[in-house]
Amino acid sequence: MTGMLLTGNAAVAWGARLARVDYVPAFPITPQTEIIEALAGWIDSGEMPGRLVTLESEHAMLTAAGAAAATGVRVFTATSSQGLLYAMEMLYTVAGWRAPFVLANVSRGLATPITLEPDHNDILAARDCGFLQIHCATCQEVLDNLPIAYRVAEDPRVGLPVIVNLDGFYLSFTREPVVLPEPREVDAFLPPFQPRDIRFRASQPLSQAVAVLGGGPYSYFRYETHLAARNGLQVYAEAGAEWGERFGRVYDALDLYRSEDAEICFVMIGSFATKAMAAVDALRAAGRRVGLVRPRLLRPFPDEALRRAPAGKRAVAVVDQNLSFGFGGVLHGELCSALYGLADAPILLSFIGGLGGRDISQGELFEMARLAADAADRGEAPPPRLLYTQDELREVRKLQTLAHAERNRLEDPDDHERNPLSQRQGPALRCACSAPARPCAPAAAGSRPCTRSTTCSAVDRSSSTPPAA
Amino acid sequence: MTLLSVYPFTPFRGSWLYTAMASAPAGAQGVRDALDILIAQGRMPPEEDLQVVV
Repeated sequence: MTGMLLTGNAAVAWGARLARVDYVPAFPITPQTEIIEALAGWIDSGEMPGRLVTLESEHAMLTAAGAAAATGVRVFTATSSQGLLYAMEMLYTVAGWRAPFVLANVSRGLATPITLEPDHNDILAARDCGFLQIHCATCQEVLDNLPIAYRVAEDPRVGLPVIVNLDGFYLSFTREPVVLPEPREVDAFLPPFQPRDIRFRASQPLSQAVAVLGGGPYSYFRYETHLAARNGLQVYAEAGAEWGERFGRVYDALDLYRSEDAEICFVMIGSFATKAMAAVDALRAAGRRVGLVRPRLLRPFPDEALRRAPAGKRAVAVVDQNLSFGFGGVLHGELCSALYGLADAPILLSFIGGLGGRDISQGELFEMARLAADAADRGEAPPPRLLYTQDELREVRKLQTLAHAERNRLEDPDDHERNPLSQRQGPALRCACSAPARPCAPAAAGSRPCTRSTTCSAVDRSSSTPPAA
Repeated sequence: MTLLSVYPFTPFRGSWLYTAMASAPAGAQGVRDALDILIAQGRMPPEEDLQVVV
């Protein structure tokens, strides 16, 4: 075993290398690109056997990945955010092929507004497609869960593709100490892919992924896929336990941190859960019985374990780094469904935080624990709450004021130097909105303050004052 | 979609993978790459090779 400082992306690449993947169909997207750059470098230099092919899109990439897996080789690929959404048709399609492979998704918030920073709306959009989902919180967990993901995907009881998820920036570009397992020890854990009857051979013609007529066979195959995904709970538990025996790091569907005797629990996924661990330690030091339950598996959903974990708790603060418009936090809803009907179920509180990489502070975690204790005392949950500070709101108001001022100046008919709509010549200003080439028409937003991020704001770098940090 | 191959029947004497309207060539690429890899690694004899068409 060798210890190294690795980014989350490098940990993914090492995990794929240690899993001895044969084939990497690839397409770049921030913040995932470092993964395929690392693999491309190793394959190019001969350090790693295998073939890497760049496709024309994530949609094509997922098609090639599924097709190669259906032909009988071990496949790895990676994407993020808009790329995952662009591939969405094929996520659903290839899962039904029952050809196992592993996809790393580096979570990044979805447009609109477009951003590079992370939240979980991308991966949760793929919640129902048939891929299993493993959510990681540290770079070590990322690396270890690549070989584990192949064990689960390729197990005859499962036979489904698996997504290993990590947060963009907070994990993808953050170096952490990571222990690299010895390749031969990983080989003992993960033998070569045995495709069994999923393969193409000239002497044994086979039609795969064929159509069905009628809802009877359709329902049969769809429900069979669901049952295979459910089998993933047992298979992941076995694989995670065996990894623990071999390498000393056990993985289970839930990561429980000081939750056994806790009265108040945080429930959250991803790297921000490590911030909650620090808050739990601080609250424990202050004499509060607080813990953390972090679902590592989200599909299959570990409902039985989740029914056991919060049992005896007074209240649970669910922190969703996602937002289902018109519904709320996805994890909160899923936990509600798991706990429904449970005698003495804890009060569930819903918090939305960390959207677009927005930090979740220790102070906010302390406040959430306090609100949870209050809710338990009252026996009633408060309404869902967005984690957002006065300072953040003030900054947004500044941006809106700037956008408004720029708009007014643009629309000033006497400002011939700046106004492109004037008959006189002047520098052409363009909108920084989603239609980049469209000039700011006076009627586009009137003189109302801009309330949408897509509202036109003039780009004039010479005179615009950036908001104070 | 094509209903050439409908479970449990197929009119093909060869193999068939139903991919998607938008990405059939990428599916062929994946099959071709996988066959090349299997042959190169000696995991599949060359006589088992297939011609991949879209």
